[in-house]
Amino acid sequence: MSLLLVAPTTREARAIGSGCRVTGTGEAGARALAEFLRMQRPETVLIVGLCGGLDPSLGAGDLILAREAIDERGEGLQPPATTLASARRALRNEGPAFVCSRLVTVREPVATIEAKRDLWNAHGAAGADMETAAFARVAAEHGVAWMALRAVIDPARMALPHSLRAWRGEEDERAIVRGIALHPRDWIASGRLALALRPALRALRTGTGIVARVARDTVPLGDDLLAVGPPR
Amino acid sequence: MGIPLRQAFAVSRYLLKQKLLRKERYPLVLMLEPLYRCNLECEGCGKIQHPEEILSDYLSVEECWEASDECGAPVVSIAGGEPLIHPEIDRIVEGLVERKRFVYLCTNAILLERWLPKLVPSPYLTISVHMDGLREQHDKSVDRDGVFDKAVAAIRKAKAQGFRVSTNTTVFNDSSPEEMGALFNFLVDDLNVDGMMVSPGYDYPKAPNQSVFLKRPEMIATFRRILDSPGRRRWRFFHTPAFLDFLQGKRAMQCTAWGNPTRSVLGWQRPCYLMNESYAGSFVELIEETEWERYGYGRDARCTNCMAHCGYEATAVSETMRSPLEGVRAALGTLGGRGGS
Repeated sequence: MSLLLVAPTTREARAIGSGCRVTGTGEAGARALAEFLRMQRPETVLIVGLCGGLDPSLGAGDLILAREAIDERGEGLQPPATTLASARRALRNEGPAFVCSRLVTVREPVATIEAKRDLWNAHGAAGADMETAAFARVAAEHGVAWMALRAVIDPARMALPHSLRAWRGEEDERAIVRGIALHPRDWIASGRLALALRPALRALRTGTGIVARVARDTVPLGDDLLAVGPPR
Repeated sequence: MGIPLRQAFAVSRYLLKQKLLRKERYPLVLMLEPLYRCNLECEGCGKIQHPEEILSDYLSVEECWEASDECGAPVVSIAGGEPLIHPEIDRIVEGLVERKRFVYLCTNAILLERWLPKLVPSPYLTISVHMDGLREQHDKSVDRDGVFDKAVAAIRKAKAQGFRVSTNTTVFNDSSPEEMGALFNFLVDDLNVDGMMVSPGYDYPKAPNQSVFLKRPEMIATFRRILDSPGRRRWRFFHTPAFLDFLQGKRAMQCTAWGNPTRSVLGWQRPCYLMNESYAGSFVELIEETEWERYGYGRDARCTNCMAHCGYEATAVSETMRSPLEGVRAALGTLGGRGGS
């Protein structure tokens, strides 16, 4: 099966290696993905990247294989059941720490421990990111199957530095680094985040290799074809 | 007192040992179901809908002891079905107490007065009586008149004979916070029970009345109101403060189903006490071969409305061990008899 591999930022795409396209974040990211889908016409798109952890049992570098991508209103899309089951089995056999759960897509970083707890209580999503649900919707609109794999960088009990709360995309990073440098209150939280970055990217690279292989090898049957019943 | 000091120390020692051994998954409470048959058909129960040949079967005394030895959990909760229907429940309890397990004998108390002469009071034995409300509410919940009065009489008699008695309350959508408050006041002030347990009902697909279950946001709102009640300071819960915080939505937690492994007449139940997807032949097989990452809030749709203590109290205990502050809170709760804020 032909596969398109996308990540929202250059840092994430670089960690995956060659063949991973950078979409950008937010609405611009969704538009870029639509363009890639029109140009490449893949059968499956694999959305990969980092995310904030909401499931309190997950640590930095733990992977989340999306069984559903939901937006903040709770409206969700699901990847093909057969591919998901195969990917889950492959991840289990090959060892990286992962869960198969929901991802919730939000408009801005979930910065505080309390906000993460409330989002967890409301949706039961293991992680929060800023793209997956929108990207899944674009894929569905183009008739392309999707899968998503995220690595946790800031676990549920880690608050983000204040300066990072303004992050909306890579273009904000220079200003954010400057903000962190100027605000000592951000130094400890930034240090923790920096320490978590490397294991998270390493896990993402490992997991992406496994899920991409499965996505290439699996025919994404629609769930309607899996239903048991008399042929029509 | 809340959880007895002897039990608190023994469980702490056990947990410390598991940490030192770097065990990722270990049991805390063995849920022992020696039989599925019950003498009630409660509207929110999904445990007893089995074919007659399974309902007629029960674990032998030796099988119950072996399950405890195999699992090694310091606490054993004998559930069911109604355990007091088991013809040798006194011997099962006796053997577990000899093994220095902290036994919670869960019962609807209909048969309790008959069994009291054969049971021996012990710091290792707690009789845990099912109490879903005051008279009208409880009898409606268990679908039979007179059960509340029978349970109250049995609790009084057991207390008079020196038994430790606790209660277990399941909260449904018709349990008003005011009524729950009145129940807890009655249990503490009038019956002087040693402790109480409380948990929202799990939406068993097989339960006779599907309309009684709360959704997760409703559970959180209901428990906030219950635990905000004026009498709250006097209530002695057999729960960690962290678990009570979780019930009120003040703390995020994931289920640790392996903390309460379940052994029934069908084997070691996967994945948890509430869902029976399959059965393992041994405890080791259950722990090592279950795909645990598939289960829990967010991971499995069946876990969406589950906040039951059999899934989350083990998480709360583990978190209490990790945090010195939580440890102090729990210790104060044990000494003062109260749960969380």
